[in-house]
Amino acid sequence: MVKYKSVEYIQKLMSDLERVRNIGIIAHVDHGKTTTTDSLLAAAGIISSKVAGEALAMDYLDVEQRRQMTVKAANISLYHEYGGKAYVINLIDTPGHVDFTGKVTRSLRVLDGAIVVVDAVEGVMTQTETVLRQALEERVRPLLFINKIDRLIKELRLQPQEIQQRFIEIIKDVNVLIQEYADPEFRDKWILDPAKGMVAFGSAKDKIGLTVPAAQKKGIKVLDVIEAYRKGREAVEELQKVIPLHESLLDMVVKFIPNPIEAQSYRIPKIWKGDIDSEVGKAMLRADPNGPIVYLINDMRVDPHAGLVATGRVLSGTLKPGVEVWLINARTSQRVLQVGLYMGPYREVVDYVTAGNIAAVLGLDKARAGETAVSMEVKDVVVPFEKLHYISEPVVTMAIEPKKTTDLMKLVDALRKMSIEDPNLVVKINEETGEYLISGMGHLHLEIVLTLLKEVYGLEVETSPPTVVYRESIRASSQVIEGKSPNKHNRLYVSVEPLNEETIKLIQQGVIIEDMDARERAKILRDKAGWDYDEARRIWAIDENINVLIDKTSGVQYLREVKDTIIQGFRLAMREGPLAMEPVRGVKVILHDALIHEDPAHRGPAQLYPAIRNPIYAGMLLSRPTLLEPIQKIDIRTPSDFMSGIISVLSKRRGKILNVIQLSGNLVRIVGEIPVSESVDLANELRGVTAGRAFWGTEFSRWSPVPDSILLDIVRKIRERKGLKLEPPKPEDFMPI
Amino acid sequence: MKGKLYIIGIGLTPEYLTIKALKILGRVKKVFLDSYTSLLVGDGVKLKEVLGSSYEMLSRRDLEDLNAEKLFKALSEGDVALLSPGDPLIATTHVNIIIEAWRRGYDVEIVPGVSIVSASVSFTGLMIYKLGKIATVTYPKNGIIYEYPYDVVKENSLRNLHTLLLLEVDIDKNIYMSVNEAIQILLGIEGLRREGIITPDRLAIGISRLGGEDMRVCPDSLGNLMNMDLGKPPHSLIITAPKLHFIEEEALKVVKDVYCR
Repeated sequence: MVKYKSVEYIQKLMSDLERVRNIGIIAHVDHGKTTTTDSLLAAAGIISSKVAGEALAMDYLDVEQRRQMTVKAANISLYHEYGGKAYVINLIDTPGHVDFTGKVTRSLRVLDGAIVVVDAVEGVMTQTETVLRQALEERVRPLLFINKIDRLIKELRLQPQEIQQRFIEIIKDVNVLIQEYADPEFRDKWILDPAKGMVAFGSAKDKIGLTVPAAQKKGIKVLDVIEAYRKGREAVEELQKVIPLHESLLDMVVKFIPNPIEAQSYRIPKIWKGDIDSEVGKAMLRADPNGPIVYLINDMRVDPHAGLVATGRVLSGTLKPGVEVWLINARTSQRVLQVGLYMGPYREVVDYVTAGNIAAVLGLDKARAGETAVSMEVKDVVVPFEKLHYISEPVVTMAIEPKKTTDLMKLVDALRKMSIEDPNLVVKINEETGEYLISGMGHLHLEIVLTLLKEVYGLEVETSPPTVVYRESIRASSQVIEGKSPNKHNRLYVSVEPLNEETIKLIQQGVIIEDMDARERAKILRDKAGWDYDEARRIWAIDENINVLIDKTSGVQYLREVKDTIIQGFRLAMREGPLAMEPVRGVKVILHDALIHEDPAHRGPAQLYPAIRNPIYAGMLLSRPTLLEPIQKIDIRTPSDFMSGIISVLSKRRGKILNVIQLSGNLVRIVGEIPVSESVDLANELRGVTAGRAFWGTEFSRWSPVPDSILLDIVRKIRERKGLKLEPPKPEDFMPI
Repeated sequence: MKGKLYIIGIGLTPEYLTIKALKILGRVKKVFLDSYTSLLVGDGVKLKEVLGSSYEMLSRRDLEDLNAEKLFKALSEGDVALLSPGDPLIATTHVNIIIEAWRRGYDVEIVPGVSIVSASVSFTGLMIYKLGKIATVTYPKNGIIYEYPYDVVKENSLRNLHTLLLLEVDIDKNIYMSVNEAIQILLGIEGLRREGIITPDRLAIGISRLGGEDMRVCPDSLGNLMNMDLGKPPHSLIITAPKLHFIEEEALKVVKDVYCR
């Protein structure tokens, strides 16, 4: 029952914000985000009637093709009628994999509501919890869809009362999270009440869905659904006509998700750090189409025909082709070449897009996902929604090469495009071997990258076994060490010490960034991380791996001219530490004094890089250096019979059990931690000891020092892999005569 | 047996080697040539004629990053000469080697050579009494522009002094700054600072291959010098004092006729 609407009609609809909803679907991996999206697209797509044939063609695309489209589109605009009125629902893509934490927050920021999909059998899992929490923190209103109810019937063979009990438990679990994480003023309002129709039950695969009010209206009972599944295919298909999933879900969205004006009035004060009483602030609160442009870009994708396409939400003003906007993070202006709306998964060129809507824009190719684009006249007063900070910490790396050597250029091009679209994918060239190295957030992330290379770019590749990335850090403070330039005519006096946990957290969260007011930063560090205010005032640099350089010198001649060179040298040193040439993390470097040669010929980078690097390295080696390894959180649900098997698998792999929770129906939930380095092939082993009856999810948790007993062994292994001499250097090696 | 270290200046070209230097070179056990501090005018053939083929080149890496290990190893076996273009201690950092050798108990002797600093005065007819502080113009590196030479020209100008500007050479990378590039960089700094110190109409002297058969010394405005082809490196540049002594003025006319043909 696809309804065909013209672009003009939809654009008219979108200018009445009362008829617009901006939503997303969030779910634990495999709980059915993609199938849910598919069923919405298939049933309620807006298709351009420009070419009827084209529109029809889309209706007959096979499932795979449609699936790919859903996966690839940054936004899908759906048309829905409710209570006799027409609505446009923008369904914005959110990353399906929670390893991409930064990306999730970014996409949540442009949503006003979210459908939380939960697998009826597995219930609320780690990633459900993580993403829901993030959504609530961004003031995104959640609704619930309990998916895969057929599994309760067919696999677990539960009785109607048990099924109902299961629903109640899941709703309760979600409500506990809402109670805990929603801001006080929304806690009660947002609690899910199934009687009011805030929860849908169904199966995305079979495209059926039901809410309590819909059930009452249509005279359908849960029992009828169970009956249909017992009867078989035909009965389910019959049911599909009576209670189509898209209707339940979209009714729910229109009814409970606020329109953009209402949403922006309470969301902007939360998600924007700027002055709400300023002209721009007020315009955003009202979603004013006549205000200054504020366009929040949540996605950059490479379109094979159009080039880089920005997708984002217009929070204020009206985007038109030809208008010049300022990209706050890129610190440059660019001209909008084309603006578009999404019609279904397709972009349609339009003359303008007004505040409150989702726009696709061509011409902003210097922007990256997370960028805030604003009108030129307010470029100096608008605070960006997201500052460039350090969310992504890729922990697994592999070398990659095409199977056919002639595909090399194609591979390079594909990797370049993919790293634009996915800022958490880091692509590097090993200068010595010429190999391409890709780094990601976990084994799963890299598997997705390889799948995309194959499916989207048609590239067959060979890969090396994945290696885990470590960080180098210290556990004590060094004395002041003299660093000399190779020509011995420059001297820097440097000490190192560990950054405290609070500081690391503040930097990781982006509260403390390099590019902020020094006094403001010093206040935060003093109040929240116990810093000395004067020392905090003298921060020169904060690097991407969370290290800080501080200038404690006074009255050093020519320091101004070598400051940037010293900072660059510091950053380079932090990229490859002394132990195993892994990135350094959590180190405070203090420059106490410096003697600088008068003439620039004798104090260039070739002299100053070693002059700063050597004392840092020597200092680190004297300060109980160690490696930090990435630790994953693992969340397992299993019949309790298999618990001891699982625990022994985890402890064999240096895992730790944090919590065991008894669930209903003889199920237990085990929450634990395991080093990423120990999680290769974990999936197979867990399947083995649980006869395939356990479900689990993993996500990055933290960096933790490796046990001292295996430190040197790991260091040697990394050095061997990198072709370095096996033994790590000694402090004296960095303190030349 | 502990050798003696001779630090010897070659002068502008191998023909400027002093008789004293030649005597020492004839009797030391090992001769090293510093290959990176400046480009020796005149071809290597001439140096070979004087020294024979028995010398070894030392790169910046050898002398700085590797702490002159090769040199000290040779010193432990006998007398060593380290040859440097121009004067060995003017605008170089070799004093460090002398200090280190002395610290290790070696005897040291310094043999000066004709430096660009004195020769630039000699060949231009400017007065040494009016030569101010010297500075090097360097290429911007990683986006950092070194404004130091601008400050030096400014200070000297305030005191009505000439400024000799040495231009960056990176022999390992085969990079030699030309007078044209140097003026562009200086005007670039002027664009940032806007203090009216480096202006296109200001008088300067473009110098190339001083001491060589093809040397040129060209007094002209910075604007004209910026587009003038002074030929092969090495180049240097003098920004003259705002007000010249009348003798200097007259000398520059002669210099222009003789050395800027």
